[in-house]
Amino acid sequence: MSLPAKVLVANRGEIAVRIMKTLRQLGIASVAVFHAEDREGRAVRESDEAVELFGDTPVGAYLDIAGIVAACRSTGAEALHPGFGFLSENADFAEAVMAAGVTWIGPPPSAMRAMGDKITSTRLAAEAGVPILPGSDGAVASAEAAVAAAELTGYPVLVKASAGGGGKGMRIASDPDDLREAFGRASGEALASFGDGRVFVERYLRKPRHIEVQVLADAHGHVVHLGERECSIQRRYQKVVEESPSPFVDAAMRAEMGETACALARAVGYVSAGTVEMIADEGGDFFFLEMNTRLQVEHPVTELVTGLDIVAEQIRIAAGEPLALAQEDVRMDGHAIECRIYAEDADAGFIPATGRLALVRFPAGEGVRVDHGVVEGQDVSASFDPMIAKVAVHGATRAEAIARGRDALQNTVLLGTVTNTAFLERVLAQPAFAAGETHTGFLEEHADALAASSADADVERCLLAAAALASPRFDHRLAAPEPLASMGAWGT
Amino acid sequence: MTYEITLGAGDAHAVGVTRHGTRATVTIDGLAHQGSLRPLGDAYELTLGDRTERAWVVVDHDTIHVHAFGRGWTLQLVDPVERARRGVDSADVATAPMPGTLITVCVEAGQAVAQGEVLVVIESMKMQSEIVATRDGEVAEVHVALGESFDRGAPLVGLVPIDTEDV
Repeated sequence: MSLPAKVLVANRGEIAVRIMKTLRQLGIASVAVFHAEDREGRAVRESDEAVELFGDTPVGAYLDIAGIVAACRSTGAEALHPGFGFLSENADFAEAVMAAGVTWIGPPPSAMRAMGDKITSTRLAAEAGVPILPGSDGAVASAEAAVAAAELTGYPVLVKASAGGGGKGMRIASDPDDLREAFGRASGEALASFGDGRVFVERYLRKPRHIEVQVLADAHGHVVHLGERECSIQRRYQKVVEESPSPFVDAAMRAEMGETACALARAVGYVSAGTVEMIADEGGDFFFLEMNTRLQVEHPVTELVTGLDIVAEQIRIAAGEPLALAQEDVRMDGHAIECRIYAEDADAGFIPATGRLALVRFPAGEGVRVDHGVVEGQDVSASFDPMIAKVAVHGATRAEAIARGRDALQNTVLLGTVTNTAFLERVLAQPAFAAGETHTGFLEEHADALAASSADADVERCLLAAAALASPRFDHRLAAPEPLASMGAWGT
Repeated sequence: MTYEITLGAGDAHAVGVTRHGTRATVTIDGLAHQGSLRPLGDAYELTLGDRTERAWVVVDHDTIHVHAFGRGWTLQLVDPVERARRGVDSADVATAPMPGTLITVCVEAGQAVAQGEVLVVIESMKMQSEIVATRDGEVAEVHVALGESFDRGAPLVGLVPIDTEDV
């Protein structure tokens, strides 16, 4: 089978640009779809042709199944890449695309449905031999029933309200006596808070790490894994720093996690790139979270260490080509770290920021990869996800990658709105990060150390002087020196 | 001419500039420094006293964005004379703490409100936040329509200024 001549990218921003880059390298023409707000965006500029979508909201435009399928027809696109987010995990969309005679660059809808349902995916994962977080089967009726359940899960356990949320009715117990007391307190608290005293018991993970395995499967039953990514640095349950390999995972654990991930992929008849997300505890036990049936935001770190182009693999797999590599051909070289640049005020609780990106300079150089979808002068609006770019770095060692990452973040210039680059640089600078002591509570644990310190007096003087010397206010002729007064390509 | 310049959430500093050709004397809180800001590649070279730094600078009216010392900074310039002339009390306007959408309007123009009373409810990142009156007063205007989106800092509800309320 041959590769498609033209591919429609049903996405926007940096991931659309990234997919088009691979299309260009493969000699495939690209079609962008866009909402009016993205008309001047980088994805449209980088595409060979572009089709406007309409929707009740800007996001709604990218969810318009009929409009996107019509765009495939009108442009003659032979295949469609959904990127991530939006319709990428929508099995109905995949079926609509295929029904139009367009190749879906993604997994079979049946696998998407199976993995999209929490109960089904957990059952299939258990059947495939992926460890499931042990817990009581539903609510426990008494303290003794809780103790009996804990015999099976192992200590420590978490007693959790069935109706719970916000930490109410939640207790950690490290032995049976502890658990009897915790049961009473948790169910009492749950009854008081939610009017429902039912609680259940599950294994409690101390300092859990989010570790996920990238798999690639072709249409001929051949499955390989590309090692793991650790994505424990999260704020509001959203990843901000990802790396590969995980500083926690050794070769034996990698092989074990990889094999279970491949087994799950085989069990659901998976085809294309997918990610099996797991949670690992301090002792190295790991448990199934979910499988993402799409390309992942953080795929660049895997590409940097393996040297593979996952999007190109997806396109070849969708064209029916067998995987060109066997598991033993997959090599992980060095260490890669990705930082997600968001328009947000990290020092004010990560609230999203807006504004015009008046000046944009991304770092470059050895071991630095920047995926972004912005152009200078563009407005960062509240219409879409506030991620501006992904700054990824590669080094021979983790220490080298951290040093490169800090340098790259310091040289990421995004003026006109507030971004989290300085916050991310402080994360990489933490001794605990350098020591690989990462877990999903890392940002809370180190919140004090990560808080912005005020500029020292000398730096503040320099900045005040720069502002004064740049402002036309001080110039009696009121002529701002060019290009200081310039607000970028889109004018003021 | 002297203006007040504030770095981030810091204190305001009185800053004056006297230019002599390409160099200038920058007076900060009464202390004079020799300085210059010259184009250097795609950025600028800032010199102040014996310190030299590379800086990227964007001027957006009285907001000045500077990238230097490895990160971005925002400075705000205020003309003390203009401020005195305007005499607007910021407590007269409830502004948006973050970008979002207006989902509930609890008050209308002319309505008396008490400190702490909910004026509007906004939604941002799927979270709802109540915007409350910071003082007792009378609603002058609701600036945003139901369902409308706004940016951070946008005025949401104006109160009748105190000094004109009894007129």
